Amino acid sequence: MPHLTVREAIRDAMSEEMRADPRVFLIGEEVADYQGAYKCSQGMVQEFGPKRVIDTPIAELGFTGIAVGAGMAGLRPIVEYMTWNFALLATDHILNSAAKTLYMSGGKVGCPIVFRGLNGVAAHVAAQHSQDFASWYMNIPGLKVVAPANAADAKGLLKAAIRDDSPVVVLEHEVLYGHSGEVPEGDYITPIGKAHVARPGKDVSIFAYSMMTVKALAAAEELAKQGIDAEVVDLRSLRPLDVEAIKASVSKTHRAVVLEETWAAAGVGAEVIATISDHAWDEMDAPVLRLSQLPVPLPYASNLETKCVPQVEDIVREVKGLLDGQR
Amino acid sequence: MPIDLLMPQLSPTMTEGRLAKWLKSPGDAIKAGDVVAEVETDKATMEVEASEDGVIHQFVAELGTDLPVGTPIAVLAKKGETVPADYQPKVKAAPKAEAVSAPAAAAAAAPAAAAPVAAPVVLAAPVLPVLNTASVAPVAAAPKGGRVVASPLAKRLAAQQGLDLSRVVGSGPRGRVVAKDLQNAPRGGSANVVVRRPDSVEKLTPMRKAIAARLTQSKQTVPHFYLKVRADMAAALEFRKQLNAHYEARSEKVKVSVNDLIIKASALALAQYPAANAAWNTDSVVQFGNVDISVAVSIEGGLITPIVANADQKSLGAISTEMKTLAAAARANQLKPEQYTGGSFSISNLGMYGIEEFAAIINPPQAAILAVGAADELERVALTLSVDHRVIDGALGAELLGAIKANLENPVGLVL
Repeated sequence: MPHLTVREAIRDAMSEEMRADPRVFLIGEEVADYQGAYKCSQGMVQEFGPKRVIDTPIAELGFTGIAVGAGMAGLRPIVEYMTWNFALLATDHILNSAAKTLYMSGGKVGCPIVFRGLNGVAAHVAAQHSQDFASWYMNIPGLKVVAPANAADAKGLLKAAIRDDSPVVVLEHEVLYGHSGEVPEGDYITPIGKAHVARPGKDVSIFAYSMMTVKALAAAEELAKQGIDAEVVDLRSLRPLDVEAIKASVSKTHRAVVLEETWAAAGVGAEVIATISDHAWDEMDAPVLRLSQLPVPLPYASNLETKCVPQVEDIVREVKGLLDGQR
Repeated sequence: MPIDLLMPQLSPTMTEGRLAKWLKSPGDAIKAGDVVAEVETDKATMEVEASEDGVIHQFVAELGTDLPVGTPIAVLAKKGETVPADYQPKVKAAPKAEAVSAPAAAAAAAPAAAAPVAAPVVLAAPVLPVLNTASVAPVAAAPKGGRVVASPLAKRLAAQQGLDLSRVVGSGPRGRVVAKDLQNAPRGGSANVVVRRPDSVEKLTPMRKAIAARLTQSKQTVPHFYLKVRADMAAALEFRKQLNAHYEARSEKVKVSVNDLIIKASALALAQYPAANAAWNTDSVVQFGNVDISVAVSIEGGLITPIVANADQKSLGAISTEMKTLAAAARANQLKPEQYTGGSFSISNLGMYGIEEFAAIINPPQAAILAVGAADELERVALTLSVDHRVIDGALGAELLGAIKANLENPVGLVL
């Protein structure tokens, strides 16, 4: 099995789909000549040419509108945002045009499109470049939202997203681009809507996505040394959420912790907690704990930034507290 | 000037009241005499009436708090008046609870008043229990209404396994029962598992405080001595049977109880020995002009002693009917102050619980109380008279108790 970085896995997913389907193209800032601001499209303009790997001006509203129109007209665009923070300028096209047109046209006009880019907290890029938008897009009917945590899912989920007839938001993570892992060969697909038990355990379920899954796995190793057998469930798909997987895990462990890089209010954790309350109430032996970003604009200063975002040691401490009956 | 509505003194012994319920809301227009709130006193739940017309401006006291008499509870605006934003209601010094009055006053329409009572429980160096908290959380009082706090999983498992969660000690936060606590839980039918539960702490009700203060004062300051006789009740029981058959034949809804016979027997004895129908009054002895019998009635959260006034002059049927009405009102917390304030002599009867005999604590300022036990196999009843030696000496006490016994053993006298 090849060992790839996440950025290579993303490049492979796009390239494979573009080879297989001439309707697929990539559009965004610096995706062609510069090979991607984070080098996720290396070699692609050389292979597919500038008509299918399109550099745009710094104009998210404009190029998103072009791409959504192309999607409605029958192409299958991939829109790369340098970061999801910049996609705020394009939300009208994502939410109002891409997500709602299939419904509003009575099923006549769809928009098979992928919006992808990095999301969440990187390293010292300050408040305006560090936001986790997961819960924003999870809230919108008509959108699907995925957030891979490793190279295999980065490829598998992106390929699934490109083939999906709905608009799909792919939340990548800057820190993860350089992470590497084994990626199954061939036409590897990770189905949208399915969570993954990244580490089985029996004492507590830790639900996470994207970078938080990586932290959860590290925390689970530390907890194992202290005699706590934590199960890590990588949600991967945030809309639709894998209700059955959540239910199955808490039915085994009876305790749950949700990790999110976003703020707690109306967040991913809130949605998971509501899911547990709706579907697994009688399984719970303790309240569900969520660890979120502190409710402040993320500080630029490294020490403060670290304190604002749940770290591995925070997860270890809070999970232990939960199991010690402090909650 | 706005009108301050104060915590009223609703009974002579009341020093504070617990605000139980508002019956009006801020903004309501009220007339003098309208009931504004309910107050739980040391004796009963009573109504607080507005003394003047006005509009309720605001409430200034919180429900459930114990407030000394004279504390403002609400501010009323007069018609058309605007209450200044900085208006502060004023506390009025609480009138002292009444002391025992002179014989002349006692003979008046109002029954004799009770002795002054200090509100707090009198204990110089209190020895208090060490609480067993049995959990890491702060001591929580036992859940009200028997609600068991348990995790959803623990509840489901308990239901599946037929476990009674109320018998399980929770190890979770605030005593919550969690799944692992069920492993040691007592199984249905088996009582072999010892379960230690946390102690609960219940705040004193005004009634409990009054009972504690009155009886502590009595037991510590009144020199009690005790006299005991056994009265043969065979004739009285036969007499009662005939009496009730008589009422039944006439379709009268009267059923005289043994207790009614004892009330009448005691009242007649007190009329015969008026010196024993008396109270200590610090520098004098009060001899009551009326034979008013206080009868202890057990009610939710304590007991109260409604009074059968002038019981020596009433027929058994009248006593019986009155006693039933009083007991029902007592249990419903609806006794009026004049129905339980005063009294010249008390009776406490635990016969219905099978108690053979006991000695009661005198109910101040009275000088004697009769404790009645259950009839034995020879139909004899133990009568124990607790006597305040400052007022009644042994010989007088013996004569009084002898007269009560004689009245019961010759019940024909009770119809006179």
